[in-house]
Formats: sequence, C-alpha cells, structure tokens
Amino acid sequence: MLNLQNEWTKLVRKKSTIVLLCLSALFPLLVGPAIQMMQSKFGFTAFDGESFPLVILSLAVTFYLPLLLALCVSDLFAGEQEQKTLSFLLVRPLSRFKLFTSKIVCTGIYLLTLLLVVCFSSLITGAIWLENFTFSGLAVGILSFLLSWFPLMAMGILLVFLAQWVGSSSKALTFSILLYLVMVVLTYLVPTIAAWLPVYDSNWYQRWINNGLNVATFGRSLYLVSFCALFFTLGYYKFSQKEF
Amino acid sequence: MPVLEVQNVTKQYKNGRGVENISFSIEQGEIFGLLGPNGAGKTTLMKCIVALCRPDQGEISINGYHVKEQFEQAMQSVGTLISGVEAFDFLTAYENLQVVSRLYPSLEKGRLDEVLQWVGMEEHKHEKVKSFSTGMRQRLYLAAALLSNPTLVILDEPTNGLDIEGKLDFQELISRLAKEEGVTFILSTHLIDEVERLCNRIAILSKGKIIGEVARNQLEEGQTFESFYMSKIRKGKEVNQDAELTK
Repeated sequence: MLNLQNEWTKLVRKKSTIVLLCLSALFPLLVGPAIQMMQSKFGFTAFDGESFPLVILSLAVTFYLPLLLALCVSDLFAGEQEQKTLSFLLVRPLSRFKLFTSKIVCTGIYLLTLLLVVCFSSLITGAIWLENFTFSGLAVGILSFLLSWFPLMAMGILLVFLAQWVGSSSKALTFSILLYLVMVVLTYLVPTIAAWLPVYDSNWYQRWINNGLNVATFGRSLYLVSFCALFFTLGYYKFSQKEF
Repeated sequence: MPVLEVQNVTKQYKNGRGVENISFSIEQGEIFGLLGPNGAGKTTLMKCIVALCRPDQGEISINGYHVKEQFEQAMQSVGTLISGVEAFDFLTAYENLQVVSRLYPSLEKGRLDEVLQWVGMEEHKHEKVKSFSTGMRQRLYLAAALLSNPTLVILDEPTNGLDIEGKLDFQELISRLAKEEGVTFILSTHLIDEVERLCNRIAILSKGKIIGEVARNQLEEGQTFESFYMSKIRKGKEVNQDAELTK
C-alpha cells in the first residue's frame, strides 16, 4: 500500500476534512446538554447516558455520515480527475489497481475515524451530562459504532462506482445525494426491493445487538460482502478504462 | 536495447484527431525532439507512452518492459512532465515531492532537496503550490520528473511559462544530465531554438503522422533542424493541397 499514506495525507491536509471532523466531535457535545436541559425543564427522560450514543449513531448513519462519505468519495475520485491531479500519480510506477484500492482503503479509514470521533464524543457527552451511564452501555455503544462501519463502507463502494461516471466533484456529490435520497424513499415506498439496497442496513448495529450472529445476520453479511465485491470490481473496471 | 521503443502506435479520437502508425526508438543518452504544429498529436503520443491514453493498436516498451502489461516496471525509471497534469495545490512543493517519493521506496534521503536545488525552488519549497506562478509550477514538475533518478524523462512543452533565465537553466540541466549521467530525454516543444540547442535527433509530427526524422549528424551542410522542419511541413502542405485538387 505505497500510496495509502499519500491518500491519507491529501485527505487530512484539506481544511474541509478537519472542519468536518471537528463538527462531528461537536455535534454530540452540543446535543447532549440541550437534551439534558429539555429533560430537566419538562420533567421526562427520553434519553439517558446509556442510550444517547445509539441515538446519535442512528442520526449519524442515516443523515450525516452518508453525506460525509459522498463528499470524501467525490473529492478523491471525480474531484482529482477534474483538477487533473489524478494524472500526477498515474504517471508514476503505481498500477491503477493499487491507486484505486488505496483510495478505497483511505475512504474506509476516514469513515472509521469519523465513527470513532462521533462515538467517543457521544460517550463523553453521555457520561458527563446524562444520567444512567453504564459500562455495559459503553461497550454496546463502541460495538455499535464499529459495526456500523461495514454497511456504510458498502454504501461508500457503491458511491465510488458512481463517481467513475462523472467528471466533476460537484456533479458526483449531487448525484450521490440524489441517489441516496431515492434509495431511502424506495425502502419505504417499495419494501420488497428494500433488502437489495445498502440503506436497508442503516440499523445494522441494532440487528446485531438484538440477534447476535444468527442465520439472518450471517446471510446479510454475506450479501454485503458480495455487494462490496461487485461494485469494487465494476468501479475498478471503469477506473482502469479511463483516459486522461 | 533502446530505452524507448514505440511500434506502430495508433490512437484515434472521435473528433478525428490522434496519431497513426507511429514508430520510433530512442537510445540511451539521446535528447529526442518531437516537433509539430498545434494539434499534430504530440501530447497524445506522450500520453500513450505513459499510459494516460490507451493506444488502439501498437506497442510501447520502456527499457524492455511493455507499458501495457508491465506498467510498474516500465515506469520505475521514467520521469514525466506532461502538459495538463497538475500537482496538488493545497500541498507545498516539498509535500508534493514527498507524495511522489513515496512511490519510489529506494530513493535516498536528501534527493528531494537535491532536485529542488537543481530547478531553483529550494527557497519556495514550503510554500503551497496554489500560490505558484506557471513558471514555478513548471520547475516543480521538472523536479518531480527528475526525482526518481530516471533513465528516461518525457517532457511535454517543459519551458512553457518559464522566464528567460529559467529556460536557460533548464537547457543547461538537460544537457548536463544527458551528457554526464546518460539520461535520455524525449522533448516536445514549439521552440525551435531549444531544439537546436538540445536535441541530437528530431521527429516531425503532422496530422498524427511522422513526416520526417533526422539526427543532427545526418543534416546536410548548412541545414539546421529548423530548415529541415520547415521543408517537411511545407512539403506536407503541398501534398495535402495536391490531394485536395485530385479529389
């Protein structure tokens, strides 16, 4: 993975990446005290320290993280093609497969970093501001965040495939957001096809927490692995055929 | 064994432009000039050599490695400066070279500073590329091209945007590397005085075809690369006019 460090360096040297990481950390830290204030004012307990990280996670995997993932993918692929910086690496002794793979691995690491930032920020918020923060809640929280990486990564690989068809980062981002919204709407309107779409797994961690490893979760894991393999291969094929 | 061998390469774009049936080879230490009017296919050919474009047919090999099948081995000893390829402008000059250097694990420490010094960029190495002028960017691209101790350097209009001093420094550097270190250069340029000063051999590309090729020692008495170029271009135009009339 000669190029992985390059991809990571490029990603973290962008101001937008740092700003989004800070916002990811701030979001639970700001929401926690607000919830506590509302709960104290109206005298009810909707969220406690144990459930707070899972509430934040459900919001993050549904809205926030797919958007950040789309931003990252559109920047690393279509954005670099648009700015003609992709060729700066393509004329070096680095095969297109290695370049493509390093970008996807970098996306995966970025996603894991985002999840961990949101995770620790929401755990800290839950521990400081909210009642009933337990160690079992802490363990479930961390596990849930880690489990959420997998279906989000499947979504990321689908977005990578789509980013190969457009030549600018703004188009790729718009296209990704529209596609994501269409998939979300479809899961409600046409439930029969919902299981074929990666957005179906937004509650992936809940299934694991509720059922553990059983035939259904194992089967779904195999489906997601196949989904990743399919769109990785299709995305790489398109990337390898590109001319600059 | 030639450093670069191009055999029957054809690349046609939908708009009719491209290159057709191009063949030539370059030996070690040569400075090979590729000349031609705008749109002749010089950049297309260079992009085909470094696999930014896929030829429709033909083969290209560098130091005996086929570019298509053995890309990494072929590119291990190649430095490139292709027009339209940009550095990462949110990184500094030094960071851009670090990005390149990570792809050559055997590169010795201090090489980055050495090449930055060669191109006169050591004072600006910690400045972000987005603040650079065209000339400074060209210097950086040249540094990136020379970073890996290449045996073959492909330069597509390398002096674009350089000031007079920059052009002279560049020409001196190319001559020195070719003579002292046996580095081979393929140089595409519009500047005939640059060709006269630097090149051992030239090929003239017009409408995607090589219409003439000559080495310096093959020139007739009193003939220069410039006069050779002009005679071939004029001849090409006459042939085209005759063809039009025949139609």
